[in-house]
Amino acid sequence: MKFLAMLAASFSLIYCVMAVHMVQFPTQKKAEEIQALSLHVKDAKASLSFPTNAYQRFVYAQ
Amino acid sequence: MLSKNFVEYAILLLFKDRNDHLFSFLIFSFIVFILSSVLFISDSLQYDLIQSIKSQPEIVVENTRAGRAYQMHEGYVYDASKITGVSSVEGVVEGYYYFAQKRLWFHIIGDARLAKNEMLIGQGVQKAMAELYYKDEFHFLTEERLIKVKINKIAPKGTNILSNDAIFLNPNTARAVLGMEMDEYSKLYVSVPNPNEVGNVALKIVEIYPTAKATTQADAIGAVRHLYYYKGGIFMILYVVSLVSFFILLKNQIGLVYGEKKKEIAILRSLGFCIKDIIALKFIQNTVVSLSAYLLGVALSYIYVFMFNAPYLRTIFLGNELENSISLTPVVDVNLLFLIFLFGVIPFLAFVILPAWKIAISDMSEAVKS
Amino acid sequence: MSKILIENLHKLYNPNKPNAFYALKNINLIVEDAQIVILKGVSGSGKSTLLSLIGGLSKPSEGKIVINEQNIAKLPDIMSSAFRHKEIGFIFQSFNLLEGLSVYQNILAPLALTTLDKEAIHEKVSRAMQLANIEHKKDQNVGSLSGGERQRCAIARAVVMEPEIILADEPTANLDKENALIFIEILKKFKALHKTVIIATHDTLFDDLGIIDRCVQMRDGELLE
Repeated sequence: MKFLAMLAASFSLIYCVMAVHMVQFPTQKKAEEIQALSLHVKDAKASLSFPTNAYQRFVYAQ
Repeated sequence: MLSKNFVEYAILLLFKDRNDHLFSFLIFSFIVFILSSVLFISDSLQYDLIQSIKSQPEIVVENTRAGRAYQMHEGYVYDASKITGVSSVEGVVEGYYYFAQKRLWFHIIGDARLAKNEMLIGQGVQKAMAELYYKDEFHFLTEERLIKVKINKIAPKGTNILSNDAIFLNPNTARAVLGMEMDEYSKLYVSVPNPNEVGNVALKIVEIYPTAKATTQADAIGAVRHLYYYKGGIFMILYVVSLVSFFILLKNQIGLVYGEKKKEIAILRSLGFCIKDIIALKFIQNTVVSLSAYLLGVALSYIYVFMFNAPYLRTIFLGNELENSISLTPVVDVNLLFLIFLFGVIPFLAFVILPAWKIAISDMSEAVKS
Repeated sequence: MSKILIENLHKLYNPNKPNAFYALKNINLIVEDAQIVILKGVSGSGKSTLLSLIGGLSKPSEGKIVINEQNIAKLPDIMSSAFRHKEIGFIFQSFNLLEGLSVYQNILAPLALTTLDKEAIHEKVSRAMQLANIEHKKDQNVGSLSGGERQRCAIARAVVMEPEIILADEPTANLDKENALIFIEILKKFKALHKTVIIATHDTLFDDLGIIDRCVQMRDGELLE
């Protein structure tokens, strides 16, 4: 039981750290920055930089 | 049946066979890590891109000639604005500039907010330029002349998903860099207030200019939402890797019950463990292994993707020609994680419990004699 | 009180197949409470099969095995396992220890099915180890024990639940003379504790032992009285 308790405690700690990170991340600020930029570049596309189009089509096959 | 003593003994037997269980643990963690990482990265990028499509115009018109993008003149603006249902038409200058020294393409975007000699660049562009000592000013080389533009502003890191390879210039400067005339445009943004009219207007534009491509807002939004199509080459490879690993794992799981382990089940049965006890024992052991592996896989994946911004894996999604120091927004799709859990943990448990049950119900007398 | 009543017992292996054979035929046997009974016979005479059936490790094809007024041959798995857990202690020829665990951890196995607290468990295990004289090896991995020590560990595990019935299948087959004699001493302790013991063996060491109450001969799956 000691092993299970330690396992549970370790995972709880890791997931708490993850939760704190998620909450602290400036998601709203980033969204606002993107929206502000997209007001000037209305049909913005993802900034991808593949060496060839063929490679890009391979990754994002439609 | 599930008393504290029983659970403790199950864990004791788990540690006895820790090497076998460790192999299953590591493989399963790896599978969960890969699948979760791909899920996190794709969801995060999609989340950011969806922020950008809120101001997507109703129709974007692009011209083609011989299948390639071609500029449009003022006449296009006039003709489009005369179509019933269109409230306004905005011409936009946009294109790609080849930075020969680094063999990179920069995305040139006209931005009317900027003055003639002003430039806003993305962080990837800034790094590429700085490597060749273009820190305060950049020289665009065109057929006719050299155009010097000051580097005044850098796009915030949070917009890297859109701006990493972008250079925003005053539209006239952009025309000069791209070799376009003063009355030429790369795209038209057509505003159609009535959503029911959008399809008709798009058709009319194409009727007037058969070589033009009219992309509606719905098409553009759909393209973003379906950016990570499961048949995409890279996803197929990742899924195949996961599937192969999973079958290796299942084979190992079955092996945990046969051979020496078969005798172990017979010994426990001879001591008074009933069939349900054997199943409970295997269930406890493998739940601990699979659940820990799953939680570890997800945690490592979160840390890798959102705290370290997915080095190496990120280049698969974004390309590696231009370094993109994007910070991925933490987006967790609980439904999909639950599906990974369901389709991972259940077969993991089944492939041990079913053979264990089969052995437990068989005649023990021969097994204990061997 | 653990009187064992066996009536008309048959065990047929591979029924309805060309290689079907009777391991036991028409066994009728009564073992009184606290008796030590030897089943004698050569290999293949059915001794081990009879012990397996009495211990509930296998089901007979026909017949009854009544212990404490219960026909254990007809019990469902849960009840038959519970009965085996409480009332039967098995000592196997090959000891059947859980490799990779210590002596203490092996003896602990039957107690995993109880809800006793830690002190009670420790007390039971200690008592079992004392009876089998294996206490000094309690933390040692069973893989590093000698044949005699492994058997004593198996004996301790068999008695930790304080069962009324001990079944031993060829207990001295893998032991040298010295360890076989140690087993005889432990058998005397069983006698003093009024355990009912059935030993399947062809070892002549058990001939003319004062503590043996009865010797039953077996041949070709049948009892020869």
